[in-house]
Amino acid sequence: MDIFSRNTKFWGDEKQKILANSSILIAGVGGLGCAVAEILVRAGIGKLILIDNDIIEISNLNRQILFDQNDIGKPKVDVAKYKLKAINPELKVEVFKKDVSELTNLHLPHFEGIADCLDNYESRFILNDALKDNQFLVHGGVKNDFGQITTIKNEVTQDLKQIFGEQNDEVEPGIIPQTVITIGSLITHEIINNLFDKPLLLNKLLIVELSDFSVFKINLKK
Amino acid sequence: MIKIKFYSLLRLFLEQKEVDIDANNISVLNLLQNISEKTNKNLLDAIANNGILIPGTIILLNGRNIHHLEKMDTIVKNGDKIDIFPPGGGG
Repeated sequence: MDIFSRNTKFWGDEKQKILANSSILIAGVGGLGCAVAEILVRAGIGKLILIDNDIIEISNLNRQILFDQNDIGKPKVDVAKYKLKAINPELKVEVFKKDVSELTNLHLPHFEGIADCLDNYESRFILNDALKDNQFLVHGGVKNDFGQITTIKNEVTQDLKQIFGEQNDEVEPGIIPQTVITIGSLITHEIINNLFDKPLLLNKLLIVELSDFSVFKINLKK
Repeated sequence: MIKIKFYSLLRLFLEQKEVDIDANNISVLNLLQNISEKTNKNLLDAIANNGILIPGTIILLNGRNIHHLEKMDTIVKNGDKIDIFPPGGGG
C-alpha cells in the first residue's frame, strides 16, 4: 500500500508513473490554486511550481483550502509548499513569490502544463503569452455560483485573449467555497486528461452553474 | 433561424436558457434589440451602453468572440449560433 494505491486501482501503474514524472506550473495560489494543487498532489503529481505574490488574509479562509488561522500574514506560496509536502513528502515544489507580470524574467524549471488559477484577465493574458508550443494551459475562472474551464494549446485553440476579448476585472467578486472547489476539481481533471494526452476541453468552453446544477459546453472555433 | 443561448447571470436575468430569432443578415445590435422585445427584458441595456458592449460579457458567434470581428456591427445570418456569457474572472 502507498498513498496512491486507490488511484492505481482505477487508472493503473502506467498513468500513475506519468503523473509522478510530470510538472505543473500553478499560477495563482488562491481559491482555485489551492484546490488544484492539493488535488494534483493527492493524484500523484511529481512536481509543482507555484507562483503568487500575496500573503494570506482572513478573507481568504472561506475558500483557500490549504490555509488556516495560523497562516494569516504568511506568504501563500510558502505555506502551500509546507502543507502540500505534508501530504506527500516526495513531492518536489518550487515557489516564486512573484507577480505573473514578472513571469518572463523568471528562470522557471521545465513543466508540462499551466494551471491558470489567477483572479484577473490582464494577468491571464500575460500568462497565456508565456505558453510554449509543447505545453498546455488549463484556464479556470469563477464568480458567485458559476465558473468556466477550457484548455489552451498554441496553434490548436484560440488563446485566452481571443476567447474572452475585453474584460473589466471586477475587484473581489462574490465567490463561495463550493464553486471554487468544484471548478478547481474540474480544472485538475482536465490537467490530468492533458497529461494522459486525452484533453476533453480543446476548443470547448465548459460552463458549470451550481444554481441548478447545469453544465454546458460551448464549441469554440480555432 | 438564429439560435441564441444564455448562461449564468443572463440566464437568470432573462429567465430562459435560449431564444430563437427568425432573422437573417442583421447586426448583433439589432439581434439584441430583437431578443429584448421577444423576452420582454431589456437585455441590450443590461450588457451594452449606447450600443457598445460593456466589458464583462462575451458574445460568441459560431464560437468566435465578436470583439475580434465587427463588434456590435457583426452580421448574423440565418442558421448562426450565438452564445452570450458573462465569464467568471475570480480565482
